[in-house]
Amino acid sequence: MTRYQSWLTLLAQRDRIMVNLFLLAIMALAYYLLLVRGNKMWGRVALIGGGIVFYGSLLAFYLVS
Amino acid sequence: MDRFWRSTWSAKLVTRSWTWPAIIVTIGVALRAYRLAHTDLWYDESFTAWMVTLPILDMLRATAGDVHPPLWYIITKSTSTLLGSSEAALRLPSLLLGCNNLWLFYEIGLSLGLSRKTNLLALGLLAVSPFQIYYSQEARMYQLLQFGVLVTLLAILRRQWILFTLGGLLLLYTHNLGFLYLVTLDIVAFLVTLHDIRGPDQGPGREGSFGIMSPLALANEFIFWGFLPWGAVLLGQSANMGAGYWIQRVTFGEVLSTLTMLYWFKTPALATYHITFLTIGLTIFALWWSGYQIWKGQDKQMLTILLLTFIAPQAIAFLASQIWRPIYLYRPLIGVMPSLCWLVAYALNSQKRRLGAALVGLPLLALTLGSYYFDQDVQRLSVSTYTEMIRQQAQPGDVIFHANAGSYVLFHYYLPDMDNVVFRQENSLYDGLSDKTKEAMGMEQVTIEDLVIRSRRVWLIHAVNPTTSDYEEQTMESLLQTYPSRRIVTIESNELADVTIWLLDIGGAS
Repeated sequence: MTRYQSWLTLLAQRDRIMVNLFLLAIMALAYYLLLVRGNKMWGRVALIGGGIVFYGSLLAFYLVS
Repeated sequence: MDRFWRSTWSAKLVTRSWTWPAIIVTIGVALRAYRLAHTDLWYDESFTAWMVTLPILDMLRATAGDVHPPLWYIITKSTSTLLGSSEAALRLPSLLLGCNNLWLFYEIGLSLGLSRKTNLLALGLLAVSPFQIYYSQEARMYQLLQFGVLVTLLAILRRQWILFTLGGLLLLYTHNLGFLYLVTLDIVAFLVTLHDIRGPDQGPGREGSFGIMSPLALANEFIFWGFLPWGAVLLGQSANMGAGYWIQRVTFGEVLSTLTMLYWFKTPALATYHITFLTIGLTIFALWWSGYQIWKGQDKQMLTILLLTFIAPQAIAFLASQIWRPIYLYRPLIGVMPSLCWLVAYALNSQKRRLGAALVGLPLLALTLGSYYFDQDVQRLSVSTYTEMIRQQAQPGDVIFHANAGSYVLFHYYLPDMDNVVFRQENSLYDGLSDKTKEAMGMEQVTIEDLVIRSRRVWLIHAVNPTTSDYEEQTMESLLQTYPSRRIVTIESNELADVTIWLLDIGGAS
């Protein structure tokens, strides 16, 4: 595989990741609008849960790498 | 957050209208000035460094053969005449413009009719943005381009059409993609003027009052005539831009990744996905929120201007790339960033849980800012380490032979007293500079035969990236096989681009 072809493969991979992150962000937004803005108790659960998932996975990345 | 604003000590500060903007601008200035010359120049900046050393006519000829308009080089040439051409001196105009843009940004925010808190929050976002800091420390024209966008927008809001003309010319003479902003701002100016004709809440327009459009039409006419001299040159340049080797094809993913860069520039590898996810989410939220407010009839005119100036330049660049040629590149999109900051600040400031948002955002901001200043993977390549190594090991009569112009321009800045030559390519566009530009710059191009009779010892600098031509790679390979060579070092800037330095014993004429 030439350097140019591997570059294109790399770009295609990154594209897929970006689109997945986009979909994930839409889901998170729906979650925010429904739970956080809609209901006080579930909103708290959602925020704390989301925070744990977000920073927990960042910590996991750090430990693995 | 509300409690914070209402507490006594801060209430005293808030009442003084200049205190908070001054504090935030000072932080912004400090972040932009800190470690200004810490990293070495990279290729684009070293190109600026070379251009400013040329006599003015050669400089214009070299610019005409390249892909940018001349204004930035003229400005940097005049400052470097006074201050020299050290890294800091070359980056100084960008630093000053970057700091000035902060103040201008705040002024425009007030003219737009944003609330004070929203405008301060937006100013804070712009002040700490790693992308903004990066381009305030880069010897290139991007802060000037953003300055053009801000000045033109201010001119529209104040209905100052002479300033609008100057701003439009500034955009076009700063960057070829300045037209994206000019088109967008013309639409904004048209809508604003239309609004003036109808008058706020007065229903249908007064008869014949369309004459109010004439200053706008006249301004555009002046911009047209003012740009005509360079417009002719531009037609020639577009052939070079067509090669577009440094511009990737545009996909939806590219748009999203550009968006992330606009906030953070390069993110540390560890947190890239998290930061991207949060950035995309925040932007969708800001866009949705402002769309929703427009729909409800809240702050309609202001939000329309912000959405238009954020979306239109990107949309035009995206469409042009699909039907014409690739022009979608993150750097020139710096001009949409002010609107992005206002939109995000507007959306965040309307929420109840601002403290929560700050708690999520601040660790990531600390991470990206920290890596901007201290993480080598995020910074520009430190090329002087290697040029110093060559300088120490070089013997009299050594030649530095560059396989392409990429490394030539950069090494010429750090080793100006050594004998630098570049391989004469089959097609000059393969190494990114046209023959016309190389000639005007006084670059010495040699064939392998020329090289062999020139010197005994040759330092071969081979910088490769995905667009390196096969011809170049094959020629260098056969050169390495023909003569005894020693690999000195390979510098990897990423997984697909690297620079290798070889020392060849040619045993030539001398």
